[in-house]
Amino acid sequence: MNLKRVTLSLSALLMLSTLALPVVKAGPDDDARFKQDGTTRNSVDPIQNGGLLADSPTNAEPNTGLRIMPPTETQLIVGQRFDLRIETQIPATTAPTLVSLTVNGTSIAASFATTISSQDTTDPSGLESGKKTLSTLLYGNTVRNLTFNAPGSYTVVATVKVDGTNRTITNNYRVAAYAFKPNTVKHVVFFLGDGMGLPVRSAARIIGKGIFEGRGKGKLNMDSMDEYGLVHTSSYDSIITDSAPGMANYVTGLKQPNNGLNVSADNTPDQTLDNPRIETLWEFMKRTQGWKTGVVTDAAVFDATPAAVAAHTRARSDGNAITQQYLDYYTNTGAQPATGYAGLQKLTQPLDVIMGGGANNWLPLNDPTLSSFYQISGSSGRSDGLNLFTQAQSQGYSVVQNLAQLTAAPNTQPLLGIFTGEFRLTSSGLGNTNLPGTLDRLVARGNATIQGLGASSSALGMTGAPPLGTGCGATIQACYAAVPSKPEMVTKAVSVLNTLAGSSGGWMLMVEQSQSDKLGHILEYERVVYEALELDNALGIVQNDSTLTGNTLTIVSADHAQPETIIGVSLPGSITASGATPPGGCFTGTAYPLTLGGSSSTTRPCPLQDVIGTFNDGTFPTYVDGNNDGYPDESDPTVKIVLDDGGRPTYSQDYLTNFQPLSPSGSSAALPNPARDANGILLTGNMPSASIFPTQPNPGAALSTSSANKTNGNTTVAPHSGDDVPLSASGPGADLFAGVYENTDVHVRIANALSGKVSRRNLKYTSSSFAGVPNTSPAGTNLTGF
Amino acid sequence: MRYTAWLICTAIIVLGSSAAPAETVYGQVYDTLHGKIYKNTKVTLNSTPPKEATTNEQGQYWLHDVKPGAYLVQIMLPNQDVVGRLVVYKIPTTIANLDLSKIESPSEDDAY
Repeated sequence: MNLKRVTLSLSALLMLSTLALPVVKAGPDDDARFKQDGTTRNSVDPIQNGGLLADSPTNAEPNTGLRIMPPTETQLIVGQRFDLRIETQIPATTAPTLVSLTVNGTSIAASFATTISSQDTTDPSGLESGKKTLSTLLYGNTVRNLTFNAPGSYTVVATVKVDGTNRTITNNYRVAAYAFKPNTVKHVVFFLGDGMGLPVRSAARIIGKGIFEGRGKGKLNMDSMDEYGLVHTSSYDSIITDSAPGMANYVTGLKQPNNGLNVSADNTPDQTLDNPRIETLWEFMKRTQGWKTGVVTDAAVFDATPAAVAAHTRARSDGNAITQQYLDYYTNTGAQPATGYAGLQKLTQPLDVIMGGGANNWLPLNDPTLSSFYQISGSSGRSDGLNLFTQAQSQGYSVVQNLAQLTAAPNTQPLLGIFTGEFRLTSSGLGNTNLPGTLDRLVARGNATIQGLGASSSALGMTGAPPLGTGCGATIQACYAAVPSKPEMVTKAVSVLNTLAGSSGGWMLMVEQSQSDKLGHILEYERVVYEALELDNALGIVQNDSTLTGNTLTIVSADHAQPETIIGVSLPGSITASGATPPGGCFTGTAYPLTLGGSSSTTRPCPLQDVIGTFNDGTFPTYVDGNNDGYPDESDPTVKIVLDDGGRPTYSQDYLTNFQPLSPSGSSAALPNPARDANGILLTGNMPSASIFPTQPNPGAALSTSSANKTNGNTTVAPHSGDDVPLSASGPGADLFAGVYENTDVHVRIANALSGKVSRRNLKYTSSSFAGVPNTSPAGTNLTGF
Repeated sequence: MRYTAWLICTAIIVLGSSAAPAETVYGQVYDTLHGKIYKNTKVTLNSTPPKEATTNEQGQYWLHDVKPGAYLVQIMLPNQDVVGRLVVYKIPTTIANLDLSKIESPSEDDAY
């Protein structure tokens, strides 16, 4: 066919279509900039308001929203507990009823109904069955803690009668083979660099090890691991995950919704603790093998990543309930009640090692330790009045608050370590529930400088007394120096876990470097690289521990990336040599926006980009680790790496390390923080602004056009990104982690390693398309737990 | 021949879509991070003319006779208005739950 014939055919087709089409007055074209006459502007500018996609298509029956949880294609392992929920999403006119429920053709409707009845008898409120606040015009029931007892594929079919019509939905589950093999893998250590995408790993290598004539002068510990893979990080409901499902998917095989921790979404969104749950590998190994478990982080210890191995809630913000779940402590006077949560209590397992920040979710309101030691306002404590420090002690935990206490704690007891956060009132953007960043702790100990200044300089904000009491030390510097480093925490965690597990036992430890993400959000990239180096140095502790040699599966990965990347190098000396800015002077005021093309030496934009060498002009940085502690001694050497971000609020940048972490944004995402690099180059934000209406329009009015310039909003930090992230693995089973796969596949691979299967070929079964899953359809009677 | 078949197929799709059936949108307005349901809250779809609904005691809303396509949706809260996006599919009822924890960017770093 020649081109002319195609063109004629298309023209005819278009004419035919035009004749057949009525004039469209509403519908998809409403999102166009202009009406169909091509000149009249639509009342709605499709780009003005931002916001995220409200909902996503899911595997649900289209008339009723009938769905089964866990979601279809969830990757379970043999024996793993999960909750089975059947629910409708669209209200009927009469109460819907379950008609049938089958697993691989075997009816389980009677068992399901009997168990629901039993749960409802135990808990008349309906929480246990996930229907406490459910409308009678919706169907929703959850049976807790079921398991598949044989590997293979299972098809679950549910039919619900809604307003006289039977509606049906089908889910498939892939259950991977699992059979624990003793003495192959005895320890699993999962290092999770939050937001630690490939650019951060590259920058950490270049900065931490050096580079000469294009060759690296050394490798990171994570560079020398046995195998490497690439992981897709998307969550159940977003291409960009947050840290909750980002980690939880790794240890459950369940694609989880953003903000969710080891649960699926359900139709009672006001009940965050009743959602259908899934067992994590940490819980599974403790329940089935008596292994010891732990989490170590520099974030608030109830934050999403550490909570992903041990907690269950639809809301990652349920810190008070999460900390109780860590201790397996349920009381009706607490945020995590006992009544209505028998299934949850059966599922959760107490952690043996818990280390991080965030005392406010452990201590009650107005507890004096909160303020005098942790520098957290008493109004931030637990509103339920529980003191989980004393509760933990009553359960046999050592409770420690600083490095000296950590070192002195016995290895024979479980350990709860909650340390001081970043509480400098002159700092912003990190918050006092997160530990001070690596660079700031190094400065406090006299092991690093920023722009040539140490902790004794008032510019760094460490010379004064802590604001709310001297419990943690006489000065801020002393308090920060007393916060244990990640290698120190990991050293202790390994000692405790080894001792508690004994020579015949095993353990699972998750180590999070949270601030490679948290400091990335506020575009403190010099600090982000120090975080990656601290993770790598902690990894070295595990790699060099003789007690772990040969039987330890070590994994290093990220839950997601951020959109930062290495754009070149800068020469800080060229900035400071002639004053605060390059020759000629530029903006020094605090009133934005700048006037482009301004000629005044004090109002024109700064040409600071001239200090950056990009592409061909990107020479090699000159970081020095003179004290040989694994970190550069100075964060602004003669030549330094520059990372910039593909997604950011408006902010100012002078290419020098800030003396303290500072929020990039000012009063809104559209304005820079005037306290941060006010003399720097203004980098315009490229993120959407939500909540942009200054006033509520009249009902029915067109969306406000006054918001189009995005002068308000709350997207004040850099976001996550959807790139794949590298995963490295060493030890028995490392071979399983080569390849390109979903984050949920990691769950299956760890389970295979624990089963003594150490070759990727073990994941392949004849004629099966699913890793680790044999091509069989076992009898439905293999679903047990009713 | 291959091109002819492709064109016929396209014509069927185009003519089929020209019927532009009106669909129903159903959803709840809530905030999963805080376990909160928003009742008596106005939801406005930016169709022409705009379509409005107010959530009931369960935070539920319905919009009827909506043509498939992509829309912005405005949620009027007591102290702020939020805009999200929703796609109406060519199915009997599109479920468009409006979870403010998802639509809005987190206001603090700890929520990332």
